[in-house]
Amino acid sequence: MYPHERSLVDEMKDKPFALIGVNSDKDVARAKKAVADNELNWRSFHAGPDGTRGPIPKAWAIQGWPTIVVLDGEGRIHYRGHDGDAATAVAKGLVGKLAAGGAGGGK
Amino acid sequence: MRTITTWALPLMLASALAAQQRPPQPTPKSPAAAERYAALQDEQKKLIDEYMTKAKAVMAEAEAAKKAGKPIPAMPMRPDTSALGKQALAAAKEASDGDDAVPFLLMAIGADRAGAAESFALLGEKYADHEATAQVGRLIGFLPRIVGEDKAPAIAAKFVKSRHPDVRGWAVFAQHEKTIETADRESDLYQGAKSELIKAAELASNAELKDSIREAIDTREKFGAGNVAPDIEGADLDGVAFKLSDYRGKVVFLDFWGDW
Repeated sequence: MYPHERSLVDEMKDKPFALIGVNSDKDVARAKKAVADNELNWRSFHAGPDGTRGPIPKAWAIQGWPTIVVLDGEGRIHYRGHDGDAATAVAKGLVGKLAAGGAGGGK
Repeated sequence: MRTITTWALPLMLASALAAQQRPPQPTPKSPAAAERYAALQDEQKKLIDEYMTKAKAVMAEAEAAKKAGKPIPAMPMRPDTSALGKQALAAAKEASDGDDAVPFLLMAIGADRAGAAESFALLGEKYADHEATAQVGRLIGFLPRIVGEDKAPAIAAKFVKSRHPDVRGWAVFAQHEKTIETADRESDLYQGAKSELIKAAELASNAELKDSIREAIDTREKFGAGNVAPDIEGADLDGVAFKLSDYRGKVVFLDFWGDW
């Protein structure tokens, strides 16, 4: 996944798009090492010392990793699932609508 | 959404196998079958114990190698219990009733991946109503991966007709899970699946099944397409506070990830 996400961030650099992570490693040092080793270019929340059982994954009812949720400019959910390619297509479609002057593709 | 990663399925099968070692597992009622079952259980225990001894030794070696900066040895392969599974299936076929057959079939499913299709088919065909069959209910949702896409629907259909509320509940859940995840929430398809699942959860007694159904519906209705996502107020990996709502106005690709 890392290379796909990295190039997505690069490609969308000048667009109204943000890739935000919720890192679910228990140990934040491990997450930071992954960021350094893989040159990850996006900002992540840390889910806390309980990792996958931390408050953010719990509040979002996440049960499998990775899970991707795509939100439009108004915070409305357009995709939730595990398919990086499908999520990317949805996100690019929304960015296209935003750029065309829509309100973020909200329903 | 209830998913398992690729490594989780062998793990689940392994734990089904390990569960054979723990009471209260159903055991055959007739003395002859019970004796045969106990012999297979002993053999299984021996294989697992041997593996655990080996695995512990390798883990200790790996720990030492890591400290010394040397290459880490590979973990030993999981024990091959397929022969044991085949014997269990043979015993199940000879059994005269469900009380004798189902324990052998549960053992066969856990021990012999390649033979799991035949064991599952027999379980569905003859013993879908049996109390002990509920123990593998959770696996009904994973039938396509255990027995293959081609054979799964026919086997799953047997469990849907089960008179045991937990067996039937797991099968109905497997049948409708995708609909709950993806169908249009206003559609008759979604509404029908939802009411059937709620009914199945009410009738079921297994807590894991009840929770799984409730979670699947909740997840969809709170986090399905069209809902406004809750905000996240947290801190980044350097401890700097920020909020998801800081990114309003942009499309957000929110990625729950971990480096494991």
